[in-house]
Amino acid sequence: MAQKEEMGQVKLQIAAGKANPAPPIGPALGPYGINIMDFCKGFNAQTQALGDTIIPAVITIYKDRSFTFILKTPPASELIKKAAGIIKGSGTPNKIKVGKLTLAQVEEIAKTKMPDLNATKIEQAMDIIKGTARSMGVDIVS
Amino acid sequence: MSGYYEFTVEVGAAARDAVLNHLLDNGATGFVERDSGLTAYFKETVDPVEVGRSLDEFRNVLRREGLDPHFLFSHSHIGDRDWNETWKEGIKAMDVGRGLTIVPPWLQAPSGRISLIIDSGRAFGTGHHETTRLCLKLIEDIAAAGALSLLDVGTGSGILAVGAALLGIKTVTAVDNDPDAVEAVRINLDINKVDNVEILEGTISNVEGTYDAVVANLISDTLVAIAGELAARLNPGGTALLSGMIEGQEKGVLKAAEDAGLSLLEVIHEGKWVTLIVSKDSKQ
Repeated sequence: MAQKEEMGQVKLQIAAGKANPAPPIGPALGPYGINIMDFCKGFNAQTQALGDTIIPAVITIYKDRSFTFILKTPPASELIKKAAGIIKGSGTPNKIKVGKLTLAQVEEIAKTKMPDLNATKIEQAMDIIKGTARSMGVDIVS
Repeated sequence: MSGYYEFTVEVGAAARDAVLNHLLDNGATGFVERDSGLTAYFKETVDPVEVGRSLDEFRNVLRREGLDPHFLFSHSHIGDRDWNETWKEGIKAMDVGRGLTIVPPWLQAPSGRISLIIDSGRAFGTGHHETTRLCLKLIEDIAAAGALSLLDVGTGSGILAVGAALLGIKTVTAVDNDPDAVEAVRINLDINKVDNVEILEGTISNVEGTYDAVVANLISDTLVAIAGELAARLNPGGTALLSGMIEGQEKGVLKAAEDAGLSLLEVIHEGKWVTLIVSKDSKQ
């Protein structure tokens, strides 16, 4: 079977199970001429059980206006919130702490997110995760 | 129609998720990720000056936590519109089942078939999705078998409800909790000159009475949650179409339907999508 010719790729980070044609989905996918509603229905069906989180989706659009999409690992901040058992970061992270992460949890998140962080060593990735966690008011404990 | 604020943030990979979370906590509804950063969207009710001020202050947090604080951002206002219009330019009339043809309002309806004219606006149900087409085909069978009334739960554009009315079902109720959907149904009833569809804004809990057929083209979690109410709205001997689930999700939906006293008639696979036809015992 001949391979379909790709027209472009769009990376979205959107709430699981709640896709609708409003921004960011509408303006990101609309210009490609694909049926936005079909993407929303497919995304919602696949992510409805993931709870209140942001899920990255990479949508590949072909010249015949068809598309496929894959789901990626949630952003580090979402993994931190899940591991720390919080729904939101702190508005004043230097004053109000909203949760804690152990080094083992930091390492696990760092391993998951390594490919997205431009980090070559696990220590480097862990430093990024620690910084991200502290920027949300989540302390690191050993 | 409301608008949005679009914030374009040029930020490196290391600080990106921290910035994303900061924007999310300040009301961002979603993001487009680019090689050089993120584009975040906010509803018009958010003060963009306040978001900008908070992003400026967030640099201090990043600096303190050892993440790169050097990022650039700008914002602009975008009006809301029908983002699907480029797709609409390419669509054609499409035959469904034995007698229906789905026609967008800007095309000429073909002769010799029943035209179902649908302008989906911003609601679900353009007629081009596998599950919508399959439900319409099955509604055609249900109408031919003599069903007199139908309830369409989560009607979206109203395509299934209007289709059912055009296929001869006398009493149709369409319910949806999305005001955009309710508006789309009104438009589609008008352009199809159909007057026997009652529209309700709300959920199945707002529906009274019972029906010969119930159709619910939703997502599996919702189908599971409303299975009991759905069964209660069905006449004895009636048929329900449970659709919109993807392969692997049908077991949970079927269990909920059976727990609610419904019996499986058929499982239909269309691509990765699954539709269950269930019925209520005529003695219930």
